[in-house]
Amino acid sequence: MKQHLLKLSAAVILASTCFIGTPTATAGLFGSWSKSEWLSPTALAVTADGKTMFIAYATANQVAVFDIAAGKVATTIEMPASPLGLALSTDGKQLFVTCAAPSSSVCIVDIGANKIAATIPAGHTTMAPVPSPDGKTLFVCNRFDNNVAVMDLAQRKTVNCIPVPREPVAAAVTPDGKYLLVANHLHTGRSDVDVVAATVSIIDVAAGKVAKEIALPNGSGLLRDIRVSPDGKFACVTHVLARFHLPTTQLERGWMNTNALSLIDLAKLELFNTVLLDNVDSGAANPWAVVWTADGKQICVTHAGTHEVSVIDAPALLDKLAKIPATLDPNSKIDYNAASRVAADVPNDLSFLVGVRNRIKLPDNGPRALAIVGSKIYTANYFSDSLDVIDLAAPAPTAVSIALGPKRAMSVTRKGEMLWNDGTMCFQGWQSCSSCHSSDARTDALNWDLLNDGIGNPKNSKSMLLAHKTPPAMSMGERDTAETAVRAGIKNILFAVRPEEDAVAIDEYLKSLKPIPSPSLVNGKPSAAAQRGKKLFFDNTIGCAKCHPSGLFTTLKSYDVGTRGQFDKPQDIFDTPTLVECWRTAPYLHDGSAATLREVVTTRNSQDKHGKTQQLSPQEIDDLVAYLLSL
Amino acid sequence: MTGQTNFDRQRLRLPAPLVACAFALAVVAGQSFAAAAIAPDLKQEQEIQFADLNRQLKERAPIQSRAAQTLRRDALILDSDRDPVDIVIRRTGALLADLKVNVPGRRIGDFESRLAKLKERAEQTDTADTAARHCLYEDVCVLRRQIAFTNPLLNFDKIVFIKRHPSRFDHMCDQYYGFNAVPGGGLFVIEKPFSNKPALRDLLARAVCERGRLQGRQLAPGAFLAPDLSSDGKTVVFAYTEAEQDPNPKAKTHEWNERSTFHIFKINTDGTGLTQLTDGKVNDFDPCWLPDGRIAFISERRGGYIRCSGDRPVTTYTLHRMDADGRNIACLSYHETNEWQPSVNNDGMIVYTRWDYVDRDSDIAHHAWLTTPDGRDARAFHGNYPVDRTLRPWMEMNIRAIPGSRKYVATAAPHHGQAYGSLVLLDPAVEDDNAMSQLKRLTPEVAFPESEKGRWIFATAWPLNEDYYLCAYDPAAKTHGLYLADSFGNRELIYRDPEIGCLNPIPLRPRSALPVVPAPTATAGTDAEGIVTVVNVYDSQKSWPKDAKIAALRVVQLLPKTTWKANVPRVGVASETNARAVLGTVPVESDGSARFYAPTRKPIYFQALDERGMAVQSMRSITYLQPGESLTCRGCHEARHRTPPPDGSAPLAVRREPSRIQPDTDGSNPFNYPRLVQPVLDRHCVACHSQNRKTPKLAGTPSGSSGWSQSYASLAAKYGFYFNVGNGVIKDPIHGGATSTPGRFGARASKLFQVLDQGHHDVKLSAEDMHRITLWLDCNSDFFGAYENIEAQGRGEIVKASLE
Repeated sequence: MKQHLLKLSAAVILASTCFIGTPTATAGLFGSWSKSEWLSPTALAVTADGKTMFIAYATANQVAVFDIAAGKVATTIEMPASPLGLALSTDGKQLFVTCAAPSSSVCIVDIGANKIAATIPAGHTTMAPVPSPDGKTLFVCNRFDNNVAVMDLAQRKTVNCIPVPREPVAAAVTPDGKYLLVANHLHTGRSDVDVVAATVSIIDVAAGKVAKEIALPNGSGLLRDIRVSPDGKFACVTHVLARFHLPTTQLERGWMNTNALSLIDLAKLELFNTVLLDNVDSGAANPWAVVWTADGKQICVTHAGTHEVSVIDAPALLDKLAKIPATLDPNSKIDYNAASRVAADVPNDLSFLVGVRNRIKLPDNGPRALAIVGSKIYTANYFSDSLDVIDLAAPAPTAVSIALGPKRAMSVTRKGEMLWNDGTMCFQGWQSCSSCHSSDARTDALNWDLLNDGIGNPKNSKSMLLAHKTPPAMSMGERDTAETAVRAGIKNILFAVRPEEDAVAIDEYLKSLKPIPSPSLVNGKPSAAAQRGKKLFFDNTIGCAKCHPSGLFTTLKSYDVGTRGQFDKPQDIFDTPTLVECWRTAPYLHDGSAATLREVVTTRNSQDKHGKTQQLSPQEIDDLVAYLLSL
Repeated sequence: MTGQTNFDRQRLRLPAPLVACAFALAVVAGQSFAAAAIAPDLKQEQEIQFADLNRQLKERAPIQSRAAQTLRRDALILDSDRDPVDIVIRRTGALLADLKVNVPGRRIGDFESRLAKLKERAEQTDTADTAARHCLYEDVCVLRRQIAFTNPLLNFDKIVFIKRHPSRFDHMCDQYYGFNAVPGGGLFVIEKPFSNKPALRDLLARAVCERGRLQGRQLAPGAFLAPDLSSDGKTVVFAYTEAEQDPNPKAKTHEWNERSTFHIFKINTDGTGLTQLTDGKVNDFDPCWLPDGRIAFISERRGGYIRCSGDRPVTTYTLHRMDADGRNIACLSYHETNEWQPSVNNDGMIVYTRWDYVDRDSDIAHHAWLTTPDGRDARAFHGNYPVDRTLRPWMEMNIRAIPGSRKYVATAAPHHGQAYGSLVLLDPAVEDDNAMSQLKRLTPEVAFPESEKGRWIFATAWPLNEDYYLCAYDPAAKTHGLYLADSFGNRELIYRDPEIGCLNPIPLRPRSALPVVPAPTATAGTDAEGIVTVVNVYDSQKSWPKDAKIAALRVVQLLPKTTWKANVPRVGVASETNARAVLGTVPVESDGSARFYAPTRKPIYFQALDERGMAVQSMRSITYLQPGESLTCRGCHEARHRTPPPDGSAPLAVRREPSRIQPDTDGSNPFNYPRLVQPVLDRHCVACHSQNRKTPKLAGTPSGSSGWSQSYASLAAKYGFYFNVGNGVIKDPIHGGATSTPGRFGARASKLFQVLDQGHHDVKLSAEDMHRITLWLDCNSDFFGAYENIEAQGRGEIVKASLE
C-alpha cells in the first residue's frame, strides 16, 4: 500500500515534469551519453520506399541521413540531446526522434527538408517513439519516469502519462492500434524471493492504461526491444534469462545468464513461450534489437555482446512451438534425449533453435539496432561507428561493413565501455559485464550467489557508479577496491584471462560514469518534500549522515545496521553503500530484501539500528524518502 | 584381440632416392641442408583416383544409403553419375560454386568457362568411348587441381608433417607402443605445397639432441608420431621412439624400457634446438600445445592396464601436462582406461578421445570428451552408448575444432585397428540421439571402420573450414599421402612418398592465440579437497520410479586394473569387471540437492540411494576431481542440452556446509565379499542350507579356480545383479544394455533381494545385515576388491589396492 502511495506521489511529480519540462541541451551532464567525437549509432529507421535510412548517433547528438543505394551518409541533422529512438510517422513524411535528457524532447523532422520542424517536450530519458497506426498519436517511453507518454500529434503535446512498472525502454503497437506493448527493462519488488522477473506491460490504448502485465519466465530482465509481427499475432521481446538462484560456479550449459527471445500470443495476451538464443557451448550474450521481416517469415535478432545476428525462420519456430505439448502424454514414447518434451522445457533448451536459426557473425562491434530493407539486414554497431549489411538472399549470407565516419583510435574510456559490453571476452560468449550490470554499468536488480563471500548467501547486484571512489567493493567488503573487483570479475565471472590493459580500460570507463539527475527533481532542483527530508537526513538525532555523509554518502566503513538477511551466514556487518542515484537501484539492502527505500527506514529498521527512524511520522518518512530519491 | 590387418606391411627401407637427391642438392647448393624438389606424379594419381571412382560407382547403393547422414550431397554417387567423368565434373562444379561464394570475383570467370566447355564435351562424348572419356577425365582433373589450389583458405606456403609406417599391431591401444613402431620416417616440411615446384625439407636432417640420454645423437633410426605446432609457428613438439623390438618376431609385446617407448621432443621449425622433453620406461606421445604455453600429452605414467586383453599386457595411458621445458609433469586425467589425441578447441578447452567402458560394452565407446586445460570437469559431447552398435562409429579420433566454427572434424576409427577410417563432422549444438544426430559424414564413400567394416582410408584431418581440410588419404589404405580434401568429394594430392605413409599435415604458420581458461585460485598442485554439488538429483533424462525418494548418494571408488590379463583375477561373476571400493554415503536434501567433500585424483562414481540405502540408479562411468575443484552437476544424467531451470530458491545443500562422506560397514572399503557378505550368510543361512542338500551351498569355503567361495559361486551368477564387460555385451538386455534405467538397477532389481524381501522361510535379517547384502548387489556383485593377493582376500583379509 505504501509502495503504491509512493508511486502515486512520484507519478504526480513526474507527470508534471512530463507536461512541463523544457528541452535543454545536456551535453556534458549526461554520463555516458555526453556528446563526444564518437557517433555510437543506436537506432535505425527506414523510409517506406527503401531509399533512405536514418541513423541515430547517440553520442554525437545527430541523426544521419543515409542514402541506401549510394551506401553512404548524405547529411546529418543536429539534435538538442542524445537521440536514442527513431520512428517514421505513419504517413512516412516525418521522422520522430526522441532526444534523451532529464528533460527530454521529441523532435519532429520533416523528411526531405531534413530539418526539425517541431519539438514536443517529454520526460526523463525519453526513448522508443511509436506512432499509432492512425497517425494521430505518438507513444514514447519516459524511461526514468517509469511511464509511457501519449502525445497528441495535432496538439503536439502529451495528453496522458501511463505508469508502467520500471524503466520502459521499448514499445510496439499492434497493427489495429488497440494495444501498446511496453518492455520494462527491470523487475520490481524484492529480489530475495523465489520468483523475480521483469514484465511486458500491455496498454489498452483506448482506455489509456495498462490492461495486463505479462510476466516473463523467472530470471528475465534487461529487456531491450519488442516488436509485433506483421500479421499482429505475436510479439517478440529480447531479454536476458538469468539462472540467479544457483551459485556462480561455472558458465557451461547456461548455468549463469542465458539469452532469450520471448514470444507473446497477442490474441490471448499471454506469454506463448521463451526460446534461448544460445547454443549448448556458445552463448548469445546481450540480445538487443529484434525485427520481423515484412513478410513475417523471419525474425532477426542482434546479439550485442557476441556481435552476431540470429536469423530465425519464424513460421518454422512457431510451428515447432505449437507442436510441443503442454504435458507429457503417458502413452507416447518418451524421447529420452529431447531437451524439450513439454512446453515448459523450452526456456531451458539450448538446442531448440537448431535447424530453424542461422547465426551470422558481424565484423563490427556492438550491434544495437537492426533494420531490414528488402532482403538486406542492416545493423548499427555502437562501438564501431558503422553499419553491417547482410544480404539474406545471397547463397551464403555474410556481413559487409560500412563505415559511418573516419576510423578513430579508441580512447581508454571508450575501450573500457566497449569491453564492458563485450561478451566475446567471456568463455563461450555467455555474458558480458553488462549482463548483470546493464550496458551503462548500473544493475540488473537481481541477487547473485557469487563465491567470493562463501556460498549460499546471494547478494543484490550493485551499481558501478562511484565504485572506484568508495572502496571496499562488494556488500561484505570482499574486494579491497573496485579495481580488484574488476579483475576478479573478469576471472571468476567471465572465466577469462585478459591483458592488464583491458582491466585498466574498464576501470577508466567505470570511473568516468556520472550520476544521472533524479527524475524527482523539479526544474533540476529537489522538491519541497525532498528539501524537508534533507533536514531530517542531516539531523544528528536521526543519524543518517553519520555513515552516509554528504559527498559520496558513505564513510566507506562497515557497520551492523540490523540488516542480516534470511540467507546470510552469521554475519551482521556490511559495507556502507553510496546513496547517489539510489532512485534507480531498487531493491535495497545487500540482499535486495527491501523493495523500497520506505521499507528500509520503516519495517526493516524496527530496532532503530539503521538510523533512529521509528519515531518519525508518516509525513517525515515520506520526506526523508523523497530526499533519498532525489540524490 | 587382434584385428584385421588392413595395412600391407612395408619392409623397412630408408627412402634412399630422397636422401640421395637431398644430398646432391645440398652439395650443389652448398647449404647445410636443403629442400629437395618433389613433384607429385599426377598421372599416376589420376589413375589411382580413377580406379577409386569406379569402385564408388560399384558401391553406389551403400554410398547412397548414407545420404541423410552426409554433409554434402555432392560427396555421394548420384543417379546421374554414369562414369568417373560425370562424377569429377559434378564435384569440380560444386567446388567452383563454393569458392565463388567465398571469394567473389577472384579468377573464377576463367574457370567457369573452362569447366563449361569440358561439360559440353562430356555431353557430346558417349560413355562407351572409354578412351575419349578417359581423356576428358584427365582434363577435368587438371582443371580441378588448378581450381582447388586457388582456395583463399590456403594462405600458407609450408606444411609440417610426419612420415610413418603403420604400427605392427592393429589395435587402438597397442598402435602407440614404441616396440610396435616400425622404424622409418621423420619430421618434414613441404614448401610451396600448392605451387608446381613444391620442395621437401627434412627438419631432422642435421638436428642432434641437445640434452639428455640421446645428447649428441640424431633421431634415427626410429619412428615418429603426432607433431603439434606452437601458435607462433616456431616450435614443433612430436613423439619419437627408437622402436626397440622384442628379439622374437612373433612376440606381441616387449619389455617397457627407454628404447622401446615413445618420448616427447621439441624442435624449432628452422631445424635448431632439438630437445628431449620426456624420458623413462613409459610411452609419452600425442603432445599438444596449450594456450598458456604448457604442453598436454598422453602418458602411461599414471599406471594401470585395460581390462579386456587376454594375450598381452595393454597399458592404460591418459591425459597429462608438463611445462614447455618438460618439467612439472602432472597427471590431468585419472580415468581408468585409455585416452588419445588432445587438441585445443576455440574456447581454450582440451578436446580428446576417451574410452569409457565401466560396467559396459568394451568396444563401442571411445568418443569426444572435453576438459579444462587443468583437467577439471571432464564431460562427453554426446552419449557414449548407442542403443545399437551399428548406429554410429565406435571411435572418434583426431578430433579438431574447426576455425571460425563451433563444429569439429574427426576420424571415425576402429577399436581393433589403427587410427584411420572415415572423416566426420561433429556438431555439439544438436541434441544427441544416441546415434548420428551430432555427426555428418564428410567422406561417405568410406564406411565407418569396424561398425560398418569400412577401410582405413582417411586420417589426421586438419580443418581449414567446415568444408576443406588437409588430411592423410589413400584409397588403397596402404601408403597414405597428404591431400587437400573437401566435403564435395574432391581429393587433391599434395605429396606422397611411395615408400612410407604420411600423417598429421599442419599448416606451418603462426595462428591467433586461443583463449586461456583460468584455473581456480590457489589449489592446483595441492592436496586440497574437492567439493561436488548436485543441484537436483531428480533432474534426469530418464524418469525416476513413482514415489522414488532419494535419500543419499553413495560414492564408489573405481580401481584401475593393475594386472594385465583379462579376468585375472576374476574379480567377480561379471566378466572383466572393475574392482571397486565403497567410500560411503552423503545425504540428499528434500529438494534433491547434495553437496559434499569428495576425494581428488581418483576415479569415482555415484549412486542414488533410496531410503533403505539401495541404489535406484547408478553411474556407469567415472568422474574425478582435481585438488580444490568444485564440480557442479545439475542432476543425475540430466539432458545435455538443458540449462538448470530457473525455479525457486537456491538448492538447500548449498546453504549449509558440504557433507563429509560417511564410511560404510566393514568389508566395503576395501571391498571384500567374505568380510561383507559371508558373515550374514553364516548368521542366517548356512545352518539351514547346509542341512538341506537341495538348497544352494552357502558356506564360505573356497570353491572353484577363481578364488571365490562356495556361497559366491551359488549366489552371484543366478541371484546377483551385475553388468558384464566385453565386446558385444550391449546386446544382452539383462547383463548388458546401453544405459541403466532408474529403479531397475542393483539390489532392487536382483533375484536375491526379491527372495529376501518377500520373506524367505523364517529368515529375519537385521537392517545392518540386509544392508550388507544389498550393498554387495549394488556393487556389481563383485567378490574381490583389489587385483592382487587374491588368496589373502579370499580369506577375508584386508588388502588395499595398489593403484588408486
